[in-house]
Amino acid sequence: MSVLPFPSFLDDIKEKGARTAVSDLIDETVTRVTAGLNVRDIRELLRGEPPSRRPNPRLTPHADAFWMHMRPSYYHAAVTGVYPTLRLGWLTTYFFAVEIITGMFLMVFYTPSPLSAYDNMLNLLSNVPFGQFMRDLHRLGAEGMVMLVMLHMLRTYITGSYKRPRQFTWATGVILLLTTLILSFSGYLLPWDQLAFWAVTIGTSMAEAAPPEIVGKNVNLLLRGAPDIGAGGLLRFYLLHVFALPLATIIFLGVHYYKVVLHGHSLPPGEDEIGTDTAKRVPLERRVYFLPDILSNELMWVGAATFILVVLVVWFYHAPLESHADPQVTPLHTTAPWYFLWLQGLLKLGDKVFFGLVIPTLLFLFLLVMPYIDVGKSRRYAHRRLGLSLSMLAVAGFVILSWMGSPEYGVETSGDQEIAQTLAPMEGVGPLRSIPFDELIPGTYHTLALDDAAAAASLTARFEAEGRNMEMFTISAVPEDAPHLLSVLESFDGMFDTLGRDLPNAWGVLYIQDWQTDLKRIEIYIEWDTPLLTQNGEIARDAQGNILLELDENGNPIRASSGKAIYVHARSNYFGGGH
Amino acid sequence: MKIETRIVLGTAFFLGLLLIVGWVALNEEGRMAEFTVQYEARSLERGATIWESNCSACHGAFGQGSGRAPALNNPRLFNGERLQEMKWAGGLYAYVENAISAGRPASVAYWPEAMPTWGQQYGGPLRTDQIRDVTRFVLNWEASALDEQNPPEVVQDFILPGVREEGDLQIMASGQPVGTGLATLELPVGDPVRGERLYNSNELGCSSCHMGGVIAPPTEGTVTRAEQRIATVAALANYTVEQYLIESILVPNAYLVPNEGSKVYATGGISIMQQNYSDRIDAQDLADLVAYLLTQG
Ligand code: HEC
Ligand code: HEC
Ligand code: HEM
Repeated sequence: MSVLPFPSFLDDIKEKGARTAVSDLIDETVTRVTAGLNVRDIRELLRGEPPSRRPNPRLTPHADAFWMHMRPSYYHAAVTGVYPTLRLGWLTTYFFAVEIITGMFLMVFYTPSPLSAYDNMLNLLSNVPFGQFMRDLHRLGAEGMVMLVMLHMLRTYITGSYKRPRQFTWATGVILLLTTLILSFSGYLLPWDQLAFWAVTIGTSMAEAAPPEIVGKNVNLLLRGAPDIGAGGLLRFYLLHVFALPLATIIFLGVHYYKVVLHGHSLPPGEDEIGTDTAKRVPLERRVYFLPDILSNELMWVGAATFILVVLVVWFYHAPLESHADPQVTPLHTTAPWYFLWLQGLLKLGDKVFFGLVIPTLLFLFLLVMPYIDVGKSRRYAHRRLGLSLSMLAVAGFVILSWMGSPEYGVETSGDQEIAQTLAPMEGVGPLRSIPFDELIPGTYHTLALDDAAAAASLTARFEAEGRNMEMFTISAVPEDAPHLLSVLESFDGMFDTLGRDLPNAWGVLYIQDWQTDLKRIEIYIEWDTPLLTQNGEIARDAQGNILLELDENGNPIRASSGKAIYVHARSNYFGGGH
Repeated sequence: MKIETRIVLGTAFFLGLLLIVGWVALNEEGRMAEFTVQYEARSLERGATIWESNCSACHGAFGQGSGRAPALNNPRLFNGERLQEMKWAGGLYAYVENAISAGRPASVAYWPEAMPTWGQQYGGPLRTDQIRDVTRFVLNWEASALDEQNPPEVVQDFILPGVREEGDLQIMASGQPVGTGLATLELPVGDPVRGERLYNSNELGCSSCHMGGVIAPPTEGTVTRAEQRIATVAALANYTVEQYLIESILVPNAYLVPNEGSKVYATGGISIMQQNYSDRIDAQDLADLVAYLLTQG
């Protein structure tokens, strides 16, 4: 007889006694939540004991629970170590998850419009608790994910895991490589700072080169939403970044991982007979069950990876934010993000269409079909000498092209500009701004005088005789209590032997003025003899390699000069290293 | 690795994480405040650069003003007087930002040129963040402007259209036909030494334009040129040199010295010389200035 008019927990108590009834209730609830494991099963799991009942309850969740059904119920012992996977595919997936979580946080504080995007960044940094933290995590995660995808690809290549039957797994991987790269690149534009604007301007200009002209023009329009990147382009990149590309990545990741599980993780190349694949036929004694071993391992790795990431963003890494995007101001050196530097390097080799478009497309198509071309049966390293050498060559090529893509290679700017840019870069800090504010003592300091008062006095006398503006050209020796100023002036002097070696008889001054409360103005002024130029605009030299000078009608060298002024505020805290 | 080890390690990592995140949380207020201070300082630095390339030509490198625009290191801007006279109900930041953003198109009536419109939203060249940068820079004059020990040199005060004080010459500043009222003007005896001082003073700033002849006709040779003009220009036929000088000072647009090569003295029939000296000097000042100029043969 039921206590209440319907069967209830009270009946259980009446029947079994309170203790048993409650523990049964708990047991049942736990079993439902875990889709198959009761309290005892879990206790055994955590203690590392074998299951005490049959059929093995640890397999039930793999059949009944949605997320668990995606994971294999056991792994081959040979693939559970660090080698052969190096956990790279797993780590990539982990980073993707980090990106989604941090990305959703950032989305809350972001509006994709040139009018507000940059302000949103400032607001995130100045006004949102954990704003900087999340932004740094997202940015570091993005760079890390790109790096990891590349390494993961390299590892599956090296262990020959792309070979039959895993060709299609590789092909979906190549698509994931592409979506990851574009995902990262599309995110680059969103802060709407100079770095973003110019990197993406260069990047999309590649699309413009696509032949024939009508196609290039329209692809460019489609991407940028207008001939130049503006409101339309930003919105499109935003939608790609937060919607289209994550969706594509999730879809292809589903296919990719399904195939991984279907074929089983490939065993280390030495384990199988050549031409066979026993990844799915795991002998009983070599099975490592997902519950509890793989899961506890993965959870530990989640903890470790998150811990490392957080340590990095709290103490070592901050996402860059340059000044507001400005189409009128081209930075001295514009660079693509590091993972596209190789492309910029290729472009320096010649024709934009061939090197910027044809080669990368062919490369992508080659990667896609590579496993169907390389049909060699053996996965053993000794049998794949050619393939492995080629892959090392490809890595070397990637590094060299990336170096060629960096501004150090083949970009010529005049020495005086390079020096001014090195002392006080357009973006970032540089040595000049790092001088403590109270060492910026008003006066003019000369690279030929440094802290030598006699030299300063004789220079002053010379400049007076030349009839110069003495407000600026009264030279002082650097005072004793300004050691940082002195060392910057010394390195300024040293630059005439390196960056400024094409500036004959050059010297420079730092002219420091008090400008406003807590604000100083510093002018970098450089003067040199005008070199003689050859027909094709190069600097003329004599047989010894000395630079020839352009002379006026009296046979005297003609002085050339350039100047650049910066302002430094007492509280901009460059000297505290804060950036 | 045994499962116990994994559990212990994993738990340690998560606890470590919690500690760090907690530490970050404790420091967030401070970090955000520091970022704000730093960002504003850097914004002010950018503002200084914008000022140097866009504003200093009119308002002076140090905000001291010139014949073309009022001083902005003016105590009156910061002590509330200016806001009151402009009937501005909001704060100073908004006032300055608004003046820069929107400009003062109508000020062409009492200045050689109007204060240009700078904000992109009103068709000017500067973005909102740049307007903020330069506004911060202008407001940073506050401390030195209000420093009573060390008062700033204010070259050029604000001008209110149509407001005159007693003792000013009652002559319309612009748009009057040639010679109106000037022939009958009776001036006291002029003192060339005081005139020279006025001419070179920060208050009137004549020499800031006329010295060296870069922006305006040079001071030297003023009389010779005046004689030439009277001899050659029909409209000036009945003038004395003295009358010509008076008119040149009080009604610059009456007769415009033609532009010389790259030197543009006037655009659209309006001289870049201020139109408001009649409001700013009294009869004695005028007589002294003329007396001084008459020594510049
Ligand atoms: C062509 C000359 C000219 C330039 C260039 C110029 N101004 Fe002005 N500015 C003026 C004039 C004239 C006025 C006075 C307007 C008035 O009295 O209504 C003025 C007024 C102002 C005022 C309002 C002061 C007040 O209380 O009336 C501010 C603020 C100002 N300017 C800032 C700037 C800034 C910042 C820049 C550079 C971005 C700049 N100006 C560039 C001519 C100029
Ligand atoms: C903003 C610059 C500026 C200031 C300040 C200025 N002037 Fe001028 N002045 C000019 C220009 C430009 C001209 C020539 C255009 C014209 O005719 O108005 C001129 C013309 C003159 C002339 C006629 C010169 C000639 O060659 O015919 C006289 C006289 C003169 N100014 C006197 C003065 C006096 C006195 C003051 C001070 C009270 C003064 N100016 C302040 C710009 C200035
Ligand atoms: C978003 C990017 C990617 C993710 C998240 C991802 C994820 C994974 C995961 C979790 C595995 C399981 C094994 C392991 O950890 O290594 C795997 C295997 C594999 N991946 Fe990827 N992958 C990505 C991109 C790529 C790329 C770019 C390639 C190659 C072009 C690739 C090729 C493969 C292959 C061939 C395997 C099978 C390896 C084996 O069975 O040993 N993947 N991937």
